[in-house]
Formats: sequence, structure tokens, C-alpha cells
Amino acid sequence: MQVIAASHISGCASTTDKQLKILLKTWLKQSPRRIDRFILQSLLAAVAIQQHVRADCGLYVASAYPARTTMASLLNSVCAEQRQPKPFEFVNSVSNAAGFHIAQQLKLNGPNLFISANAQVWQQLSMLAACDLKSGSIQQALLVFCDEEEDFNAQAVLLEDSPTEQAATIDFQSLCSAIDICTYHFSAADSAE
Amino acid sequence: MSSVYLQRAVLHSALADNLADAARAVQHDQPAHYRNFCLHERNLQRCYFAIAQQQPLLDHLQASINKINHEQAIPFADCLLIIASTGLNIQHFETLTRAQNGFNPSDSTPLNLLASTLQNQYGFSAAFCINTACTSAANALLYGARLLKQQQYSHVLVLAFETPSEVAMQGFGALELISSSAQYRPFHPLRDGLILGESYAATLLSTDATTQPIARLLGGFSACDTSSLTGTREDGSHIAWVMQQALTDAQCNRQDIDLIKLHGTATQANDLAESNGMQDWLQSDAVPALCVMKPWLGHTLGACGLSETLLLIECLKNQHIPVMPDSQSCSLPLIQTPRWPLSQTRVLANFFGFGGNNASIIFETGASLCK
Repeated sequence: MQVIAASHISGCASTTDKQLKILLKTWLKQSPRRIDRFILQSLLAAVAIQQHVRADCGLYVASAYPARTTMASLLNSVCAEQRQPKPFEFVNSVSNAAGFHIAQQLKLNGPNLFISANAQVWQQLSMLAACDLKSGSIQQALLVFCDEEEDFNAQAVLLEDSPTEQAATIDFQSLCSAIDICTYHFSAADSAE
Repeated sequence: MSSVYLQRAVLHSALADNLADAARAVQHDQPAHYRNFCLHERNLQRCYFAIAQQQPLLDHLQASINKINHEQAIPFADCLLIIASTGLNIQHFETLTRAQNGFNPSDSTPLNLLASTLQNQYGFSAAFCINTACTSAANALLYGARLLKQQQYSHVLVLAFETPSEVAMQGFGALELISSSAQYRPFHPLRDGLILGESYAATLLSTDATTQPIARLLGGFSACDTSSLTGTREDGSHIAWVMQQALTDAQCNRQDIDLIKLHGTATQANDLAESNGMQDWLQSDAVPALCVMKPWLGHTLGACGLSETLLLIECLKNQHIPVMPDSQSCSLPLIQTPRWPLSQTRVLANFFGFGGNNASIIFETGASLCK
């Protein structure tokens, strides 16, 4: 598989959703409404390389954690306050909601998978993408990994099929070693402004 | 290219604690065990198809793996574990939130926690969860089969479950998608929404046909309809396209399909879209029988791709098809006689979900699978 493009959007816990939305608006004519922080971060990584993506592209998204703020809000509403959840929060809580918004913005019509991330996340995303690339059902595969502990990292890699043998160990850096990565970092100083 | 088989199967549902008894319950019109819950703020009672005997989640999952392993030794070191579920261990967080009267985002645990726990316990080669809403298990079957065909693993264990989550019950309630009549009637003019269901299902996939498999997975297709986060195009065009792509992937044509298992959630929008998506096929000269499974299991969300598939396979083994009462009034011509005449059946099964995910899988059951 050949890597066509890659992105890495990062920031710290103090980076606000508003800052993420401002950056998103520089890349998208019309940003989707009522999306949570996880969807925002995933979208940013994907749209950063949107000029390389074609419609016949499969989408493979992974995360180590669910959208934490959304889940916290849902759990507090339902289990602590005995209230009905807000419909848009409930809908955003499905793990493939980020994939939906990426597919919608990039006009993708291929498969759209979400998997739980572990130490082999890039290997597993590549393996799933290879299934569809080799079958010919898609010509490109967009892999997205989004993770937030204190800081957040949202990374995307766009692949095309090629006869190259898949390496035994794959990580983001090794996948992208031959290309320039589109990067954007929100520093703590940005948040203080 | 080699075929992929469903070797062994386990289903614990609100119908019964095993697959054979669940199929017998359907055959003898025994209803699923249920309990009621109250929609917050609105104080309305709704029905949930729940397993009678409560058990910790990990016990359920271990019991499923152990049952499969008891019938056919799983070569764990060369076996991929795929977990398909929308809620995963959400009940743990619901309990925690109630106990401490609030949830702290730092209490979150990794999405891969259950997969890695089971991987470490049994020695699976690799493990991850697929979460694509109500197509999770269908995608687990589809991609498990594709990875086997690429010889990435010798076996894939698909473990699909959905627990009685309060967030799911209240969330679907907030969207006004849960039946108020407690009658699950997909495609019926009086349909008024879905009834959620609990289930724990497992199957072992491999390319080995010598161990009397229960079904052969021929192929399928899964894609994203980006028109709406909560539903597919009302005209059914994306559903029709996905079914056609599934036929192509399975190297079948419409004439090869004996039975279509509809998704049939009994919500207004889903059933309308699926009805519209079926029209072209129904007007052709290759009209198969149509059936639904959710009235018996409830909507088992991320697990439905496996729980409905396994229950249907077991019913077909008994040459029986579940027939919904008053099915003659439905907007699609659902099957009306429970006696199924074929000893070998090729099935197309639809599964659609939030996030625009639409999937169709094609499988074959019957005596000549090993040929």
C-alpha cells in the first residue's frame, strides 16, 4: 500500500472546541452543526488532506476512548439526574458518528468502519483497509486515529493499493516516513489568547 | 478463493439461554422474557426484551467462548477475536454514575478493555471491537471472513452482545423510536417503533468445511449513506445499491436468493426506506420469501447482525420460518406460512444503523455445505 497523504492535528486539554471549530472553518465551506469534540478532532485530521481524497475511498476510524464529554453528559443526564438525554448527544455517542461526518464532508461512498484502538491500531486499520483495497471495491483508504488523554492527537493517513508488501509492524511514523505530514498544533499559548 | 464457514454458534437471548431452545420458542410462539422500564421525565412505561437471569458481562462473554471451545477447540494463538457491540461495558459506567451521583470523564476505560481482557485470558492472536451501530456484528462477520480469505488468521471468533443499557433505552425513548404498544410489528400499518433486546452471541469462522459447519458465508457489502446520521435515504436507493453490491461480492444474482431477512426495525422511517429499497426486486421475476426476526429477539442493536443470523439459521435447520401475526397487512409481502420447504437455503440479510451504515450479508445453510 502506498501512502498518498497524512495529517497530524494535536493540542492540549485547554484547547477549546471553539478553537477547533475556527480551524475547521478554514478548511470547510460549511461545518456540520451539533458535533462533539471527538467528531471535531477526527474531522480536522481528515479534512486537512481532503484535496487528495476521491469518492471511491473507504474510511477506517479508530479511537482508544469514546467521546468522553458526550458520554459524561449522557450518563449524568440519564443515571444521575433521571432526565432524558438530548437527542443530538445520544446520536453523537455512537462511535461511528465521526466517520459519518467525515464521509459526508469528503463525499465518500465506500465502507465506514470504527474500531477500538490498541497498541496495534495502525496495523489493524491497515489490515481492514487492505481487505477492501485488494478486492477492488475501493481505490483509496482513509485511516483516522483520534485519541485524547490530557493532550489530543488526531492523525489521518490516505492509502492507495500497490504491490508493496505490508510491513510486520506499522505505526503512524513508519507509515508516513516517505511523505510530508500536514501538521497543526494548538499550543497552550493559543488557548490563553 | 476459499469459502468461509460459520463453524459453531452460541446465542443467549431473551427467548432462551441457548440457540436450540430459542428456535423452539419461536416455533411454539413462546414470547421473549421482558420487563418494563419508565421513560424519564415523561413517566411512560416501555417494554424491553431482557434475559431473565442477570449475570456479569464478563461471565456472559467467557461462557460464550467456553461453549464454542467445548464443541470445537479454538486455536487461540491463530485466532482473531472481533467484538461487536454498541454499548460494550456501558452498564458498568451507569452503575458507577448512580453510585457516585455523577460521572467524571476520567472514569472512562479504553474501548478495547473487554477485547484485551479476553485476549490476555485466552491467548487470542489479536482482538479489537467493531462499533458501527446496528451493523456492528454484520461488519464483524464480513470483515472476519475477508481477513480469513487473506489468510491473516486461521480462525476468527465473532462475539456480539448488547446489554440492557439505560442510556440506550432512554436515548431511543428520547428519539421517540420505542414502541408504546409493546407490540413489535415491522412493516405493519400499526407499527409504532422498536423494542430493544438483550443478547450475547458468538460464532467461530474458518475456511474449514470438514467440521459440519452451520452455514457458509458467501459475501456481502457495507457502505455509508451520508444523507442522515440517523437514517438512510427514504427512497431506499442506498439500501437497493448495498443489496446489489452484496450480490456482486457473493457472486450471486437475484435468482439465487431464496429468502431475505429484512432489517425491519418497525420505526416509520426505516421500514419505509427498506420497503422502497425492495420495490425493484419485488417487481422482478425473482421474488424471494421475506422474513423479519426482531419481533422475537427485540432489536439487539450492535449484536443483531449475529443474533438474528444465528436464530434464523437454527430455524431453517428445523425447516421453520418465524411468521409475524397479521403479516398479510404489512407493506412488504412477508412470509405467511411457517413451514419452510427447502433443505438448502441461500439468504440475504439486511442490517442498517445510525451513522449511515448499511450492510447486507449473504449466507447459505443446509446439508450440502461441505461439498
